[in-house]
Amino acid sequence: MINRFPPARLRACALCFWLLLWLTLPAYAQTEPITDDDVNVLANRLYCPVCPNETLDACRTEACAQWREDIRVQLQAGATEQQVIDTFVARFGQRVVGNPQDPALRALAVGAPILLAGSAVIVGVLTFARWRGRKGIETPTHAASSVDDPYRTQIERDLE
Amino acid sequence: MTDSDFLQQIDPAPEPIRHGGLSVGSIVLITGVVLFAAVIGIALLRQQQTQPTSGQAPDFTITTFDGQPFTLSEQRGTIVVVNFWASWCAPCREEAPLLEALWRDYQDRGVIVVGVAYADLDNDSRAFIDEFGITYPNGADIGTTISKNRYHILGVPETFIIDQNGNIRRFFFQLLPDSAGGDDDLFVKIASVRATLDILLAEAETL
Repeated sequence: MINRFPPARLRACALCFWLLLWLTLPAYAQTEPITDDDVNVLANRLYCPVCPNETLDACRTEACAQWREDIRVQLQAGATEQQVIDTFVARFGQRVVGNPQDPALRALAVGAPILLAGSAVIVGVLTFARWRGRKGIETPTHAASSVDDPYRTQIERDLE
Repeated sequence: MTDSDFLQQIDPAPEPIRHGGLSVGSIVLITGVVLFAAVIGIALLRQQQTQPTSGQAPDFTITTFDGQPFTLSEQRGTIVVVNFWASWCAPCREEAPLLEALWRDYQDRGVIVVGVAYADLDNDSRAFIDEFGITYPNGADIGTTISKNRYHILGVPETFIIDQNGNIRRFFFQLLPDSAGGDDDLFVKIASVRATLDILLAEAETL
């Protein structure tokens, strides 16, 4: 019997099949409907560019509704959450995100308060320790001078 | 041992108090507090900055929705009316036809009207331009750097009239039709803006 599909050809066909299937996956992902919850999860991470301290999901203005719709369109087109955020930052500036996008600025924003608080604690502890140490040294000095001083002891004995 | 030695021994002179010689920790803490105060101070100052109403107009460059670059400093010799607007802004919708009328009347007399779309999506901006048949150049303020960092606008609409030398000569919030009930320095009738433009054009002719 003649084998019409040798193993090598069979493997090649299987590989092509999986490759084609893999290539269709992004298209399949894009056809999934983007729900309001999907949009609001991302909108919660963005601030309204024109209303102070209001996240995009909570903002009820017409402008915010347009921006939420834009998030939906971008997600539908296959953009990742970070890509949507980057687009908003590029368009509306840094204030649409709660923290700076630049890694150095973000590190500074997070690190500076910790550094400041840490320094305050260290200085506080050192000051307290120095204060306790000085107090501890001062007390025995007077006690030793009063006990070990033979002249003083002699006077006290004479007074008795 | 003399009596003075004795007194010195039982009641030694107090150590002089040190005022200098801060520890490293104290220096770090003080530096941190000073930096923190500086950052807060700068932020507060920036928050209090308002629109420039006189002096040299901050320069900017935008790419119009037609793809043409527009740089304010390249317009010296002409009067420029810079209007900040957004498609989601209701007063901007009332103002747009008036600005278009102004532009049509004055474009051949050395006046340029330019629109800067603030915090707006490109598609919405284009739809707004089409809806009102706007023909003067318009472009998006990418990153809102022009509106917030240079002109410090509080909202939209806001308009600046810049003279032939690049100086801001008038600022107002909204342009109103002449039939509107009342106007003031910030909500101005179109006749008042025409008068301002005529004065600036006359000034240029006398020079």
